[in-house]
Amino acid sequence: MEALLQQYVDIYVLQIMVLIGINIILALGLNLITGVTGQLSMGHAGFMSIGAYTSAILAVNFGMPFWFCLLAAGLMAALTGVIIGIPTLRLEGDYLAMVTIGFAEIVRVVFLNLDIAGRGLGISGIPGNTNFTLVWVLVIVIVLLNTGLLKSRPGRALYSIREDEIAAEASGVNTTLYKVVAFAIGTFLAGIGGSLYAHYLTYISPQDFGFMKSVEYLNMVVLGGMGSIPGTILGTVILTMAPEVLRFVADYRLLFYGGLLVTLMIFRPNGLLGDVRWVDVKHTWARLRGRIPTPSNSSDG
Amino acid sequence: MAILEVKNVSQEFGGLLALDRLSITVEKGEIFGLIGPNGAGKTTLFNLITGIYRPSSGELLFEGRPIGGLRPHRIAEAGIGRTFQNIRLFKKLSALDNVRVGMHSVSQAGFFSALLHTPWAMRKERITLEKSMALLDMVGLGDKAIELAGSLPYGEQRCLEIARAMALEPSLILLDEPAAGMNATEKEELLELIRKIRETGVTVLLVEHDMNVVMNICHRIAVLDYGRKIAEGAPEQIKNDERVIESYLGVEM
Repeated sequence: MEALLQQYVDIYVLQIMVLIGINIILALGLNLITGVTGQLSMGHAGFMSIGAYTSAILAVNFGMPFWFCLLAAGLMAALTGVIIGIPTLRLEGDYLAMVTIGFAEIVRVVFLNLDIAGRGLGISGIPGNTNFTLVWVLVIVIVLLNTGLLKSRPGRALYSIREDEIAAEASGVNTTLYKVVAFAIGTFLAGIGGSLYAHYLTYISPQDFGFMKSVEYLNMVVLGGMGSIPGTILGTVILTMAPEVLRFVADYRLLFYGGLLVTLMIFRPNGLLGDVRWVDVKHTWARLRGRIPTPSNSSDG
Repeated sequence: MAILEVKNVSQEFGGLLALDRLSITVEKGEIFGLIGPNGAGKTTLFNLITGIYRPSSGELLFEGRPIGGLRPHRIAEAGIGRTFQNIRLFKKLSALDNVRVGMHSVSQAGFFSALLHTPWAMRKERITLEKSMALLDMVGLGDKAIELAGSLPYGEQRCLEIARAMALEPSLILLDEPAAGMNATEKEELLELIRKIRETGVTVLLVEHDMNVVMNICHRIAVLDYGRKIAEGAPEQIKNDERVIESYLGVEM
């Protein structure tokens, strides 16, 4: 597949698309935690790094097969997510934000000082198992599962927690359970993304996973529209491509990047697709095709 | 038969005694009104019953089982639904979705089966949809199912909250000032709705400031002031009770 693609597509573009795919996986994980369930997580890069290092160490130091490393990465990240999530998410209020900032920093410093993680030099020579096909097959599977989840009863429960936690509890939703589960799934995806990242770049170091990385993923979710899957994908594509596309403004790149975000937040504060509802899209589509939309008597999106 | 028993319940917040050895019994199938000046402790009592607070002392029994200190979602599962004084709707969700969340504990479709869209889960979803639409129709919002809850007019938002509380298929429903902000027509419709609710077998515990609504529809009324019960009885008795008049008007008649 790779070879086939390389005949038609410039290798540079291919690389960007792999990166976009990896970022989408990470961003969708964060979207589930923050966009859908409303729990602000500012340490997504920390879970990504747990996945990356777990995968790298298992591959380089123990010679484990890639699929094992990938799965272990996700599970390890999810496990740490649950460990810090349970005590934090039992509380009402935005404690998760503080805890995740601290947690990501702790993780970074731990890896910086851990011999098996290569300390400051990181880990190199990671087998490059990540390719276009793998990443995008995973993206498709994860998008489908995510979409299915959000249209179902547990999905509605998660949204209700974001909207009004007290009312959600009063409606029978076990908010602590659902918050922790959302966090577990989101961090699992971060771990998977981290592993894919490590096996793509073949080299990782603690600098790759600083606070700004967490902020980048948060930007993708917020830009696209909190809770919206197509929105998150769109936000990810835009923000992954932006540094490349903005290369022409060279030194003023960060200025443009910041300006872009500010402009979008002024005119579309709910994100690009945050106000778009699937049911409205369906209606508009029906109208455009000449059919008058009937008042919906079935489920909406 | 008593459906709710509040036995000698006190609630302290720091130095403030919000409820003082309060005892109330609500009989199954009645519409019970709770009135009193602002700050009397009515919403505090609601929050206690629904598990938002844990009583400092005293006992709370629902259908004979103790519920004091249980988490709110367990109390909802047990069959107590409520609306809120300040309307707590899921504003960015549709009216239909608001009600469907109310059906959360009734529906039972588990995480994985819902995720994988198994036939069993899909059947549960369809039932949820049908029941939710029926509830929306009952409160008169059937044609607004896909409207965003936050965009509904105030009176309809109150009705939607009631529909969501009814979605729990509760035995007891707590309505916290449902008539607040409504005009005369809407209040008439509300009275009809409450009667309809009672006819389905649900007991109603109602906090209200509008005396017309209260006197019109309640079988029994309890009056709270400073966290204590100062009177209890049929509407006629309460209307003429000196202590009640005094607590509201602050003068002796």
